[in-house]
Amino acid sequence: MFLRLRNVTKRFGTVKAVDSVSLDIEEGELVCFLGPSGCGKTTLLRLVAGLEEADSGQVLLTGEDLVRTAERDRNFGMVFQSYSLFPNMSVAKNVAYGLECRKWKRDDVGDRVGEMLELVHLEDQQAKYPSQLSGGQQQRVALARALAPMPYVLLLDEPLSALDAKVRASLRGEIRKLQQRLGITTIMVTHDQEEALTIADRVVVMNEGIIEQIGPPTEIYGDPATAFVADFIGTMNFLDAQAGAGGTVRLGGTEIHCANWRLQPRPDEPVRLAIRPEDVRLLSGENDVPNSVTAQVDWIEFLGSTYRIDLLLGDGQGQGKGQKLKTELSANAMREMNLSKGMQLPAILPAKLLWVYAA
Amino acid sequence: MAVTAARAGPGVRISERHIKAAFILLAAIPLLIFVLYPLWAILKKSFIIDDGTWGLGNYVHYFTDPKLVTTINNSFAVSISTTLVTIVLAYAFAYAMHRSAIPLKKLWMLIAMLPLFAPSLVQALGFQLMLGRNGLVNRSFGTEFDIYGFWGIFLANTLYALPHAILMLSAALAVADARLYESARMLGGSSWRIFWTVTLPATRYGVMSAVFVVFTIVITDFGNPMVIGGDYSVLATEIYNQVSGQANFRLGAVIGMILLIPAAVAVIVERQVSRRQTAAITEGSVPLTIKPNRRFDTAMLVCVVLVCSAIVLIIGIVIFASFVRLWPYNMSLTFSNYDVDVQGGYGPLWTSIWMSSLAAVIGVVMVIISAYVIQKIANPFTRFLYFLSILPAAVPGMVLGLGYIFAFNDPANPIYLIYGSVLMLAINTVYHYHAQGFLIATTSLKQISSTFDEASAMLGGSFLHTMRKITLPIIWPTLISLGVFFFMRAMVTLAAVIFLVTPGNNLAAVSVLLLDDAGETTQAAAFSTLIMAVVLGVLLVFQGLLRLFGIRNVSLIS
Repeated sequence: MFLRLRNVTKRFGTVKAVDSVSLDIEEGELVCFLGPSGCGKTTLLRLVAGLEEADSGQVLLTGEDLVRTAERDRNFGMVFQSYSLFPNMSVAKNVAYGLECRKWKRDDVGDRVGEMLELVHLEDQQAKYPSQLSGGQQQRVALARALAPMPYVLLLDEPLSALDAKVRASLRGEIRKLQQRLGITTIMVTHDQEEALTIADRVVVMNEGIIEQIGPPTEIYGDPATAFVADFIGTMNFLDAQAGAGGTVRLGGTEIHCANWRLQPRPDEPVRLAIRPEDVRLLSGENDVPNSVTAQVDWIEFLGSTYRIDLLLGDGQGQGKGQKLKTELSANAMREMNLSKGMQLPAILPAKLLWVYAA
Repeated sequence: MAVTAARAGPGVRISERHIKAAFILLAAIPLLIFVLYPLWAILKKSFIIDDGTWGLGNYVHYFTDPKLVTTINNSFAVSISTTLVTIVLAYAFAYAMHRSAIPLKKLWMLIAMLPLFAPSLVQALGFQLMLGRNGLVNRSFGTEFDIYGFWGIFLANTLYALPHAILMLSAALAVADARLYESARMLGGSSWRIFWTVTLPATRYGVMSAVFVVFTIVITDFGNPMVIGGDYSVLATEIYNQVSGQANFRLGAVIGMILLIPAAVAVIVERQVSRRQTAAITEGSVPLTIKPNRRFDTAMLVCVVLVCSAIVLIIGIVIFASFVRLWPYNMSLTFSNYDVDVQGGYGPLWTSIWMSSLAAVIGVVMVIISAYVIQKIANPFTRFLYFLSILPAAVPGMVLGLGYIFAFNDPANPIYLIYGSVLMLAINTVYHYHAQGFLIATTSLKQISSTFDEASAMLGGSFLHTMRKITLPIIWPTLISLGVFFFMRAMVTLAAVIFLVTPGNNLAAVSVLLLDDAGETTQAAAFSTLIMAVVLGVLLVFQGLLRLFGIRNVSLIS
């Protein structure tokens, strides 16, 4: 394994910012650390970088422990959230900095700087100072500067979050292409799930210092391992229910079959049933459909190509508990069904798209 | 990939640690020797009684002598009244600068800063020439004002402390959130009511800070009470009288310790208060725009012109007197006062310039090292280092100077080698003003994002490399302003160095005092004028240099 974290722990006072995290990263892979602010993702990146010292655990690069190696000797490239270009140096000087620290020959430095600036399409800006560049350009210089000394690993600490939305999307694509072309092992920290899902080979979802799930983006979205991941990634409905017999739960008075169990409950144990809004199917005017619950339209919101329909479970006569269920309906389907507020209809919860988590 | 070969072993890290340790020592050892040790020496001296043993005898002596106890009351009476009046005047002045539409604001501000460019006793000299026994007023109108005493110190110190207070209150009044004022007006508040409910509360920490800073300046000032205090003895002058007049070093030490208490308390409270003065302005703030208001602006202009006239008058009369043949008997003009023939002639001025240049260089290096070490190296010891770095703010110059005598005027001490030299005077001045310089350096370093250090380290830059290639090149304008700060202070300082000058190494500010004491008022005025000219000249040259390099956001007046 190229880069391996083993039981890495870091405390700030009494708070465990990173709690015994283990993770393997393959050479050439792009891994995203994703999580809400304060989840420990940045601390974990800084531990890999050597900017923080771990209280315990190991960071291994091709099998060798980096604990005694200072950040400056690790040969890891890093791009920071704030534009961290040295304001007193030109673009070319910034890119050359790491090479000069490594005592490269002058000619080699010049060649490498030219090559790097070409890579990020800024070859005509090399005499400018950072303050003369836009935010996006500055981050591209930062990327060139980090890559110039041929680091073993590239670390990106929320590199796009200070940029506006348009620049962010284009630079995101640029980083991914560059990373694949160079085949450089990369870790990127982000709190933006769209960013993580579009760019990463694998996503590491973190919460309160621990890893909740590691997997490819489709798996993180389509098969969330924990209730936290289910809730954090995309939109998810959570419904209170009780465990029934034979792979079913009781939702209100209805038995619902579920395919994906994240726990083995005792009979009648309270559980949480999860389903994404787009997976709920609505049928008008039919009753007695399997795996369905009766619901009442509570709120309709027009969103352009889709409608958001909020339902209240139960038929208004005591069945169910009036739990809210968010659903999505295409504009076409909406036209055919002609829903209105207060209408009652069955909502199908397909067994394959239902997840059961501990309450 | 040949990962292992390229990576440096643990040895590299240890040498990096050695460099950091060396920097910590470089910052700490001079502070221990030149701040803490002299304080310990004066403390010890105050507790050693006649037979050489420890005891409270000196303190008993002091507190049983009603004449000596009076100096405490005098010090507090004059310091508190000066502080109150200074703060009110400075608030009005700063308010006019930032909240009114009066013309020529830059000129008024420059005039208000003039007292910073002169030794404190120049104000006293000016008031003496204006209102003294042989002053312009008494001579012209046949009146018999007696300025010497409480009122003299009060007036002179008010002018002396005014620029400090104006600078601090300007900083507090410069920022304001227009939204607050708009909502206050929408709610129907009168201007007067808005002032009391919005403006004053928003600047309360600035006001409190200024109160304690001014109090410290006034109670520790030596030059003004020395010249114009007459029989009204205060703590700072009493130390000098005991030590220089009666050679009673132990009683001098006791008075020094007594003076240390209010100064230290004021500084501690001020540090606490200034720490709270954050986040008064939030991200969504809208800067206040000032609309002209004829009646209000006129009132403000009158107020500003009055303050500026007083300053111009008092400093102007000193400059005028420097060209007068024999004040007040022969008022014909002459340059003969500039042919200083007593007290070593121009020697003290050259010594002062040389000493100030030395202090500027040493001061910049030392405060940058302290600030850098405390900012960049996380170490339990650096908290103590921070305390040592700002400790001098609480130590009155007279106390530090006396402490130097006790600590270093001893052939057994290695520092004795430089005792009485210009280098000793420069070092003394650097550590006298260490806290202010250190805070300027720290503020400047804090403005540099720590990610620059991290970015440099990630790229393979060492601690020294980062400092040399990144930090220092970014903050060089601050280095210039620090150098000018130390130079200015060294040119005008009197309190600490008064105990350390020797006949061969006299300083300009001390010369003024001695000339005035000897009745050579016009020559004292000439010397004062020269000091002001040198300070202003240096200030203008460096301000010009900064402008030349396109640096506009660094102020050389601090």
